[in-house]
Amino acid sequence: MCDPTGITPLMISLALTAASTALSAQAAKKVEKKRNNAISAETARQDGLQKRSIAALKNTQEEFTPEKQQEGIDRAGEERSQRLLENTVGSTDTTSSLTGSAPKIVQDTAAQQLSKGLAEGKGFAKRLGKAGAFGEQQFGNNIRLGRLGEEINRFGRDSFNSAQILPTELAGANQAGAKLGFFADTLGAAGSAFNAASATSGGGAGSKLFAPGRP
Amino acid sequence: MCFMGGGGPDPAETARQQEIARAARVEEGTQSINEQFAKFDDPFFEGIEKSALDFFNPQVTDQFNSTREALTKSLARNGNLDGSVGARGLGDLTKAFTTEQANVGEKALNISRDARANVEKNRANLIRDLSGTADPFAAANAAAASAAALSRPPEFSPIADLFSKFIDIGATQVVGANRGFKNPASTLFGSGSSGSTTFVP
Repeated sequence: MCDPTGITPLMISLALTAASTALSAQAAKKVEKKRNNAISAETARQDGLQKRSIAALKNTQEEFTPEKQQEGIDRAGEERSQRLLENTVGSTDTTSSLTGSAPKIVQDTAAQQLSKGLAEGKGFAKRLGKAGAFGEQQFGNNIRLGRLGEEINRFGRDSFNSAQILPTELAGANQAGAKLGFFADTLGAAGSAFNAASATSGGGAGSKLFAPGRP
Repeated sequence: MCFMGGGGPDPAETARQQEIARAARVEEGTQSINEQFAKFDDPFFEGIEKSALDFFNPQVTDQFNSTREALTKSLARNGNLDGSVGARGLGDLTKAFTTEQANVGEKALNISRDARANVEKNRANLIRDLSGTADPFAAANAAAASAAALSRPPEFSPIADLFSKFIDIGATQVVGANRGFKNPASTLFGSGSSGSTTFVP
């Protein structure tokens, strides 16, 4: 016949130890889940920021293919030349220079010289416009790259700041299992106490397993 | 008394909310800056270009007109106005006038471009400051002040003398021709032609 005074503490000890183990596992699971959630959320945020950076970069890069750049230079050349030509109205008024007695050949030649001068001036305007095309394109490129830098810097700062918070979130996640862990430890300690009690009571068959002086 | 310190604010959540709020403030400040700077569009810079042209073009024209008048008088004094020297001199002056008009056009384009670069630089500085402070109100105020300063009409310097050399050249050509130096312009008219009364040999 069993000795209830010896078995009972042992049974309680086993139950408490089992409960402690279960609570510890639950606490660890809770911590892991919270940590995983924090890491997943941070990964998603970083991924989103990276995608926005890449999109901004791609958007700008599209303007930087050799073809697009050449198109830009050509367009800038045309626009600049057109603007300069619009400003080169020149003067073909010959009558104010020549005397009325000038022979026709002189008048014709003078008119020819003025037209030539005007044409050469306009040719210069056109060349000058085209000469500045590359600089104009570079100027536009610099503005585009500057703005891209602004955007990427902003995403970079957001990314850095967000990543800086993750360790705090992970530390918080670790704390999430602390309460359960405390209960598990308490139950475990109680289980140990009951185990010790069952061993010292010397009652049950089971308790004898832990009895001191057993051969 | 709270159990195991669980009653206080979650520091991680607080940090996350603060970061979200910071990013939102930066976004708000960026919008304020962009709104203030929206007026600096293509028509604005074209206006600067036009102002520059309106300032420089009359000066070029005035200088051309007075130079032509002086050159005409100089040529007439020497009896070369209705000859090849005069035609060539006036043709060269016309070319120089057109060339200077093109130069002034480019100068106006550059002034407009410099203004655009200045605006862009100011905007970038404001964005950079905002990124550090995350203060949208300060950014909006600074953007308004900066935009007002940048909206002021630019100041231009008068252009230097452009054509007076033509008066000297005209005089030199005439003196040279009178002393028997061959002037390339003499080939303008066919040799032996009886049309020109002041044909340069």
